Amino acid sequence: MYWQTLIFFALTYVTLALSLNISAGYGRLLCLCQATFYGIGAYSVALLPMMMPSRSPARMYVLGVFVGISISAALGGLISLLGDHLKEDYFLMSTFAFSEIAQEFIANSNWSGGNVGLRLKPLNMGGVEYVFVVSAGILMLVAFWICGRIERSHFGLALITFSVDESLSTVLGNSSRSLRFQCMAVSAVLATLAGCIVAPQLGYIHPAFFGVDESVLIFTMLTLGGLGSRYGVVLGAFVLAVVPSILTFFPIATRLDAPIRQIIYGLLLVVLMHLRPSGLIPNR
Amino acid sequence: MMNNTILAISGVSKSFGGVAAVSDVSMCVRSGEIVGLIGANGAGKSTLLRMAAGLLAPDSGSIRIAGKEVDAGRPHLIFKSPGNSSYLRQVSSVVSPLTLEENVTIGFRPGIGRSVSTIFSRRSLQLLVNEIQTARGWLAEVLPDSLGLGVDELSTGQKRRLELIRLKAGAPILALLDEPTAGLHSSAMAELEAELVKFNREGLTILLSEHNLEFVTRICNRCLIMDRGQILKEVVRGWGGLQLPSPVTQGRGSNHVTVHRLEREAAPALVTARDLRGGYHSRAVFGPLCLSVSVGDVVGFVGPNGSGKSTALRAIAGLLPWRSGDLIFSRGFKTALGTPRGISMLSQERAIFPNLTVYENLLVAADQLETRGRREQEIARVRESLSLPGTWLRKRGECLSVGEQRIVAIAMRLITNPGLLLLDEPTAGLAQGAIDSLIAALSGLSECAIVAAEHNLIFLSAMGAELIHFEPLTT
Repeated sequence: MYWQTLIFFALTYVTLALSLNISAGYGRLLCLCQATFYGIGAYSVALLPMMMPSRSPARMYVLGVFVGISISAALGGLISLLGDHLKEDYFLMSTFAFSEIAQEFIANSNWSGGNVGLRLKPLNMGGVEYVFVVSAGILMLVAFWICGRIERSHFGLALITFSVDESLSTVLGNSSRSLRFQCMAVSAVLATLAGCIVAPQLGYIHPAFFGVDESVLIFTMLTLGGLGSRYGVVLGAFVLAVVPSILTFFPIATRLDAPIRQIIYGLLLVVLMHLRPSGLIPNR
Repeated sequence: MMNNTILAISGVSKSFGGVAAVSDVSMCVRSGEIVGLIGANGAGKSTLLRMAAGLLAPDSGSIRIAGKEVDAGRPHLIFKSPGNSSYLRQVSSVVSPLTLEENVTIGFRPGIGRSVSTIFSRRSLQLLVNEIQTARGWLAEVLPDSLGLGVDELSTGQKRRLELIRLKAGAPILALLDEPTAGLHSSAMAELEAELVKFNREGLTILLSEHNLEFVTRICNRCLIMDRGQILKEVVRGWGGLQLPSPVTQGRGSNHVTVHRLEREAAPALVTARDLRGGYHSRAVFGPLCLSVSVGDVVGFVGPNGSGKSTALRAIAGLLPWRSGDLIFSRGFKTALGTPRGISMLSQERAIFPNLTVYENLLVAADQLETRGRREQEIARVRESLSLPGTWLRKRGECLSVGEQRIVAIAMRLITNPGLLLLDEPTAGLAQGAIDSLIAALSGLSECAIVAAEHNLIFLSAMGAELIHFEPLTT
């Protein structure tokens, strides 16, 4: 069970980092709200079966996925419109604010279970044990495939041109607003799908799972791996998702073990970023 | 005759922060013409071109391309529509994360669209593969020795040619070129000219702004002289070619600028380079370079684009590690950039702070001087020697034209009175008047050695420079 959970989360984090790579890596739309989109997916698949208990949970789950995707795509698109007027750093701040607002909103609402969290209705999967791990793996492959396709498509070239030089991209016939909109929407949808798989696997969700800390962690994975490089992102996410668990295998005096692990983890990050400033596997 | 007008500008004005850059300009460009815009730095040429490209909204007036109004709110539509225009700006625009082929490919008109749905469409992927093939073919024809290089490794001339291939990919009917020859060596300029004439024969209409009057007289059918935001005069090519009126051509030969140099004792060498070789990554770009510069010397690096002149300057400035050979600085000479009596380098980019005013930019440059009074004094000295107008001081850097920004950048380098001044293309983008005052200012420098990479031989000879010829290394 331990290994299964570890692998599941590693796969999910890789998916999340790949989804962020589309907006922050290719489009240079630095945003700190990836975990919010992820949370939207988790909460939609958790809430819909509860709202309509008479219907079959599996059907409601599927409906939840679609509702989550629609909400995220719409919100992602709306956030991208902020980019019309905000420069990189201010855009980052506004997505940070959005993420905070979303988290507080969920934590302080009754329908969402508030700060107590939400226990999901169990989904009957016909006794197949690894179904969510396998789905997380498939989703990760899909995200990886999409990143690869983007790198070799007209959309991707336009996106990279836009991220480097917006006025050049404009004279070459690309609408900045539309590029931003599309890349935020795709990125948000992928993160939401990851959330849809995480919620039933955990069986319990809480607003803190989808807070800014989580977004920062995903962003760190991306930076560590290399912005805009899909192999790097996979490696970076995998390393950051697995290293803390591996550190628990080393026997350290019990009273100090948590802080020391944090220190080792932090040091490792600093050293890695110092050795490879543009990521473990830099872009091109 | 008038119904084949491609670009029609009527009554267009634009001002930045209360200063009129273009005021009430009307002009038109007819199909098949090559029209030149000439005038001093800050005359409004680039602003006019940027408005025609839809990148700037005019305050008043209208601009039509092939009968359609240019909508500055949605400039990307101009390129997309079949009767489109293409804009090539003054600073080179290559996208460094992309390969050479991809840099060309982004110029193709989006026939199939560039929406995210293209990533799922087989047809679109195939189209991209074909486009990359086409681009590779063109590159092999025009830039045969650059295949496989990174975009950052290209010289200025090669970048310009890359941009031209991209222009060709878009198949526009109108090209707006902002200073196409800036930073180009005469051979690269001849190639550019041949290429543009070829495009023109194939039906491309061209509007270009330019400081190189010789280039303008050779290539243009018609020429508009701009001054302070207005069109002063129109000159049409007649039987005797394009005859520009004398006030414009005055000073073109520039030989009337005489440089007085004091006879001095042979000074000890400030910098000596012996068999210096340098380059990027695994590729050698220049060398072996032997050089000895003393106080009062002026050395000019000349040679075609891509022969390593800029790289050599960067190596001397310490911005790039050299690969072999010796670079020796005389004792007591500080090698840190920007320190008083040390090295000061002007790179090819505009190199001023766009968000600061001109005065603040100058203050930043004067930061090493101890007292406020000294700073003011030095700023006043440099302003006078380069004849910077007082009206510029409160303007923000980005509100100046590219040429004006160059002049401020040069002023910033002169303020600390450096011991060794390295200039990369100091005259690129400057009108003749500005070049003359630059020559005067540089010759007035005392106790300074100058090394300049430059294409403008008249400038170098007026400076009395000793020339070092660079040739591209054959691999």
